[in-house]
Amino acid sequence: MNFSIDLFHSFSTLQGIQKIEANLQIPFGEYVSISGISGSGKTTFLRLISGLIPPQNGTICWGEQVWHDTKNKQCIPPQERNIGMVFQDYALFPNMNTLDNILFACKKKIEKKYLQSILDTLGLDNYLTRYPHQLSGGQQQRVAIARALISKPALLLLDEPFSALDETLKKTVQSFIYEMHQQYSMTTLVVSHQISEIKPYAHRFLQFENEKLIDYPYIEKNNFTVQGILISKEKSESEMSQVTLLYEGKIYQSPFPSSELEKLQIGDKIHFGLFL
Amino acid sequence: MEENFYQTLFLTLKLASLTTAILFCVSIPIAFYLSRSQGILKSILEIIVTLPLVLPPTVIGFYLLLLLSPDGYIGFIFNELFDVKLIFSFPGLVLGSIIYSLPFMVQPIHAGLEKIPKQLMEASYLMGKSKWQTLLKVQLPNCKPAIYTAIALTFTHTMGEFGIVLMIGGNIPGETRLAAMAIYDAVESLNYQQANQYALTLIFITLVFLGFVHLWRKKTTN
Repeated sequence: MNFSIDLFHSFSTLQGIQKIEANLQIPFGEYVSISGISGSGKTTFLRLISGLIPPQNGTICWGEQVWHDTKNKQCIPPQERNIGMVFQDYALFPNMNTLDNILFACKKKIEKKYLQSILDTLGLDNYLTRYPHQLSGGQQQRVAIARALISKPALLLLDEPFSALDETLKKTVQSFIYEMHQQYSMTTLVVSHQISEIKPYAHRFLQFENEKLIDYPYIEKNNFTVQGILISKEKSESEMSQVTLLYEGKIYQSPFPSSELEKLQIGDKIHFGLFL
Repeated sequence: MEENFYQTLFLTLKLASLTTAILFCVSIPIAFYLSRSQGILKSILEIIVTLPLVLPPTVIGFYLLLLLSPDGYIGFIFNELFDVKLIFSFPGLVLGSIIYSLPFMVQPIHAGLEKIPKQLMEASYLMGKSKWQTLLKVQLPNCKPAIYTAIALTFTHTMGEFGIVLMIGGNIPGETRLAAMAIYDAVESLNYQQANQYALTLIFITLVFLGFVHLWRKKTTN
């Protein structure tokens, strides 16, 4: 079963008209990284697939369930999509304390053990009665993560979920999210500026380039198995740039760390991940 | 002290409390609709809600007098269906006050709802909560200061209502005679002492009420 996205959307920004185009098939249970330069539409893309903004054109299907179909005027509201989302600015409810914020996301009765494991791992046990304004940025971010995970959603959308965490905590939270993702087969889409944060976990890398969401070949956790010849490189402002490689007479595009790009010369042989 | 002093004050407080309670229930759906909608219907509704704020009370009172009288559309219906006389009666005063004080309740709540970051509602929807659940559990609790302001404005404004009362209520002791009318009567008969009693009592009640609202607001904001 796949999460199929085929959409087009345009909207006005201060810089002019911004477009988003995506055509993807994400197998259920995958961990997907989404990157792109600031303002490329990453957050809007998450809002489009969650149903918070209806796409102007296209279809979004969760397996056989049609979430959005512009032609047939079909649209399932966000309430019925079983999504957990961490917003970039957390969106915690100011009128609720930490525990109420987390429990508000529960759609049915939850096991105490499950709740406790989330609170323990995210280090929230001592802040349960505190209100959002009494928490630091990092603590608020952890509450937002706990809130997104508590209902074991089928689709987990994370918008810059580690930005306010220190290095030690970041690693703990990253591996906890990955553990939950695996244990409950949550399809997980993570927007991040720092690909290195997600690289060890992601099955697939999506990158916004020229208003299009490019689906890069499947990379098996740093296992770069083929060697291609560099035929062109395009430096991007984000952490990852794009290189074009020739391998067995075919042309492939692959993300490449921008910081390393200058060291590359056209004709160099480069290992890159390829799903054959 | 005048024999009817307490009766008039009680009636004034009763009218202010009833009007505030009814308007609170009526205004929340209106403010919710205004905060969510776009387009011509929203603009029309906004104009209608603002109208009592800019029109002279006598203009509203005059048309209410026509509508609520036994020959008027509303007055006729109430008279025939419920055997209730609206003109020169307390129920008519309540209806008039609701119309006249509508903007004082709707506008602060509307402004409060609009101030709430959109992402809070979106987060609630993604958690499976309906629009009404979101309104009750997220939006209204997060605009408490605006609600307190709306309650304070409506209550104190109704307490001092004069123009509409004069037009549709008259001055029947125990029935439609409110504090503002009593002050007017006392001044007309040069009984300044009595006018002073009413005026000071109104100022006192209003100050106490506003003080409480201020404390609630402060507590909520903290």
